[in-house]
Amino acid sequence: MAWKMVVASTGVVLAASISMMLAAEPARLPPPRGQVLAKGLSGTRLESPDYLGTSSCTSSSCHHKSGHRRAVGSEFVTWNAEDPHRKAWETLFSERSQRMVRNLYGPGAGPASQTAWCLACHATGEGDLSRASTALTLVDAVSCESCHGPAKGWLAAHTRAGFHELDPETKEKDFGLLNTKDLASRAKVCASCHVGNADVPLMQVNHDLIAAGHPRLNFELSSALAKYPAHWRVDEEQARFPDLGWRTWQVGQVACAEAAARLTAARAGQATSGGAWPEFAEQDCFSCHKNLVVDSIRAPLKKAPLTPLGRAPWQTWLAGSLSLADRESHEALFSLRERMAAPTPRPEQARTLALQAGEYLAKRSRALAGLEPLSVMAEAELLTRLSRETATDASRLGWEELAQRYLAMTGLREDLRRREGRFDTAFEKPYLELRDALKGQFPPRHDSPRADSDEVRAARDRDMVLGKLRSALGAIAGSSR
Amino acid sequence: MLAAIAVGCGLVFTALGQDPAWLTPGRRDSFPAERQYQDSMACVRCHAQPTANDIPPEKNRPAGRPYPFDFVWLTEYATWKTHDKHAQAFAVLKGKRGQEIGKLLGQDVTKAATGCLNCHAQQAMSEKSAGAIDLSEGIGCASCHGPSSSWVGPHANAAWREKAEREKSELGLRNLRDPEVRATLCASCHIGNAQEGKVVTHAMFAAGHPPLPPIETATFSRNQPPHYREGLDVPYLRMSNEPTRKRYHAEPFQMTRLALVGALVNLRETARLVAERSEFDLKDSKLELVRWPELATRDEGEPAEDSARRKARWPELALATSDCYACHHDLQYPGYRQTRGYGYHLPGKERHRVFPGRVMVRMWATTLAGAAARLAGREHLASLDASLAKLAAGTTVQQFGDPAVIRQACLELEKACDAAIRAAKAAPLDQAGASAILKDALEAFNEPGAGKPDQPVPDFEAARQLASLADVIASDLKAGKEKPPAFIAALAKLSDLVDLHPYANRQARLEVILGLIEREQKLPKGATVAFSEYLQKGGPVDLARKLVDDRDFLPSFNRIRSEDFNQWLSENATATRLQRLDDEEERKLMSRLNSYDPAEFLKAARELATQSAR
Repeated sequence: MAWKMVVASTGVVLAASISMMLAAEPARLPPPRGQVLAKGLSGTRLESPDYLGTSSCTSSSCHHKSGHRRAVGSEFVTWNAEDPHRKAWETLFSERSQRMVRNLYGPGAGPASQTAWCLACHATGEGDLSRASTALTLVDAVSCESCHGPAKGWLAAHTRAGFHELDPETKEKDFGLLNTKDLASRAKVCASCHVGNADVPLMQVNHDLIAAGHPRLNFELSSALAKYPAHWRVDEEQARFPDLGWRTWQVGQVACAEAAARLTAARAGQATSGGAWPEFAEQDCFSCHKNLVVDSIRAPLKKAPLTPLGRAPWQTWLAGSLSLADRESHEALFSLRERMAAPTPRPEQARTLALQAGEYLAKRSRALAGLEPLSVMAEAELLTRLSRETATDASRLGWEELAQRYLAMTGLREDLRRREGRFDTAFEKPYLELRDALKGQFPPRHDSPRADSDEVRAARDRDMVLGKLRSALGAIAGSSR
Repeated sequence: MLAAIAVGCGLVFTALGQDPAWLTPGRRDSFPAERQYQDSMACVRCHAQPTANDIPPEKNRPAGRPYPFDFVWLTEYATWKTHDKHAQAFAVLKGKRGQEIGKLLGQDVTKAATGCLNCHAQQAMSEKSAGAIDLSEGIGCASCHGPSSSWVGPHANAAWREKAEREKSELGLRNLRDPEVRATLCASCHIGNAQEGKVVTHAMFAAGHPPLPPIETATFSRNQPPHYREGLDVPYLRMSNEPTRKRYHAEPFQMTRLALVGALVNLRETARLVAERSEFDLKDSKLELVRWPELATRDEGEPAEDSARRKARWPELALATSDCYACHHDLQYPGYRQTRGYGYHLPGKERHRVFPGRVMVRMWATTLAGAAARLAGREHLASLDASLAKLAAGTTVQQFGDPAVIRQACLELEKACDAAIRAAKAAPLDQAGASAILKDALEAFNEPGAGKPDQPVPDFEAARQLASLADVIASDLKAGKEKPPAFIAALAKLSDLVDLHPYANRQARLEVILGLIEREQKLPKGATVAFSEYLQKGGPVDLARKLVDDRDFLPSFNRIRSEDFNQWLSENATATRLQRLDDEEERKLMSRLNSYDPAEFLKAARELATQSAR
């Protein structure tokens, strides 16, 4: 048939061009400086593709039943109607996206919607359509296989008798069906776009991309999942893990730090061959992006002993609160943070430490995901302790560490509300004050705390905000007993 | 033995191959060795208060005989001591912020070893002085005017004025009437000079040193405030013949030329600072901390070999000369940075793109260099631009740039500036030329097709430079003919948008200082007001006569020992008050910087260009 021939031949050309690009620049970070464009909107493989596209899932007897949103069997409906991932590709048509590719590649840049670097996370298939079936289209955006794994290995198998009984590790290892039911594995899947993927060079938002106009990544698993229109049974998860809110925050911290450490290791490996080193996107944004006059809450002056003057600490957002998530600590992680705060960290050292830290964190995230649930009492005590410690440390912590602690408290709050059936109203007022004090630092349109102008300064005075935070945290500690 | 010969040959070769350093404007300040520095006590006797003999009589002025006041105010010392912040340069080290910085750096900032005294006192001079130099007087007369041992006597004779520039320089007097010499001198502290140990490192900034604002030499001179009159404002020079006027660079549009030559000098000094600090080989390792004060600290695991160690520290070194606001800004979307894009831009030329997210060399000085190149000649625009292209390549290639490429680009830029400076100093400049330069500068960002996606826009510092130049040219133009109100309004709007006259607290700060002097010298309250007014009005002769009459006032300043002066300033209440005034000013400027909107600025620039064409 003529149309098939056409598709097949363009497919070959496209596959060739992309694979040539990949061959010329083998797994290197950062992404290539020149723009690489996907020439078509759909996959190219007729035979044995890895990615099959949503159409392979949406049979009316499988995941596109005619149920309402959120109903089991109607996963596609939920995703299609509510899931923000559905719009991941659409957003590449925005003015902002166009501006970004122009900043990166010059005035003659091609469309963002076909730029390989963008597609790596904004579409299914990691930016490489040569592995995808002709049935996969970019319009599908971030769809089933982005999170569940390329369907080639498991599509047929997962409907067969006996598959259900297999343990998740086998499903993942032998069939390629990712174990998204396990929090640690799920976190890893999320992190591969929302933090970055050390194994796929294009899957990263580095400082170049942020400067060009991309929002910074500040992913936190528990708040992301709380906002997410789940297409699975959250109530079942909660029954299994009554402390789901806290557990998700805890596992998320460790898993995201792991992804970050692996990225650092990969970047360190490329440091001497033209990679960006150190990669600014790994460092505390507000160490640099801050007002030069006022010692504001965004970046306290004395971050000793980790950060000497004029230097930026590593991964404040992703790893700055790790010690709360995981009371065990690891020498490599500590040394990594210390070394990475130097303006010129030695890549060899950093790589070794980052690899060690990554391995350790991977182990820890699996262990934490499988721990026995905490009792109600234990969660309440944890909330009290967290508030107390944060109140004591508030003046030493930057915005990012404070915000992470707030999110941890939010997880605990959700758990306690659910488990107790009601919740101490004495908690709510200071909790909301805490939220507002933190949010007050980020006015609309800002991706950072705003530099103080005369008008808003009074309201955002560092001491005042700190005072508010401390009293809110004190009240929370008192009420959650 | 061989080494000794080599060194000897080197010296001979240098001496034969080049002009002595003191003859080359802009080269390192090395006056002949026998010229020795003195502190301001050598000057105070004559330069504090004029006597009746110095000032022409109100009526029946004898023909043909200039009075000293026709040439010099004779209130220079008093002006400096009371109104000029340079006199407080050492005191600030002992002030609130100075002490805080010292604490954070773990250093005593009042000690020579830290390098602070290279800009905050006359440290370098104390090494070349006959007697002890009083470091506590801050930046005094000799810092700018040069070593006075050989000219302090002869320069008081009227015949001195007819001597050649070269002869005076040889005796140790720096010719600050030459716009290049003056701009180079200002830049040595206000931009930096790695040979003289005048470097503000990133750690110093992080510890609390205020950002170094971009300078525009003419406006800076006016703000000092001047203790002198500029070229044609000097009655003696107006009365003189053409060669004398030329020698003193007294000409119409003198401030415009100062701003434009100054712009090229600023660019050259920026380039030189970067070039010197990216040259990691150093023959005399004793000079290491002069060029790179950062290297006083050692990072764990650093290479042992000197140049390798310096190279490994490049990112930290680069930060000291990087664009502050490339990093220190709000993360805002939409924001003008993404709209503007990234790169180096010489107005009048296309922008040289730099990959987004790179730390860029601080290049505010290119803004007016474009305008200055128009005075120097079009070919200079091309050569300046070519080195910026290279700089862009060196910046893009990796984070913090490739120091070798950056150095090469900066050396070329330095050379291109040198040539442009020579041409800009010699080029004729008149009413039409100054108007055209103003119009061009304002329209450089507003060329046909403005608003297209990749049109470069001026960032805040560039905008301030533009507004500053507009202000200077406008006042030179005004000297000929009063401008229409619409022009004045457009100019005011432009200045206002970038807070061009940022010394909001200048008056308040001055009142603190003058109040202290009045109190300590037991002068009646408000006794100093008349002097301020005199300075503000540019030293009119009738007010000068009143100063002569007041026998106790100006000479009382002579009696102030600088140590006492500093002591008053660093008393707790005063220090707190002064620091608060400074902080407020800075905060205001930062807040303006953060709310700056280039579109609004360009609109105002367009309006001013339209008005100036009328």
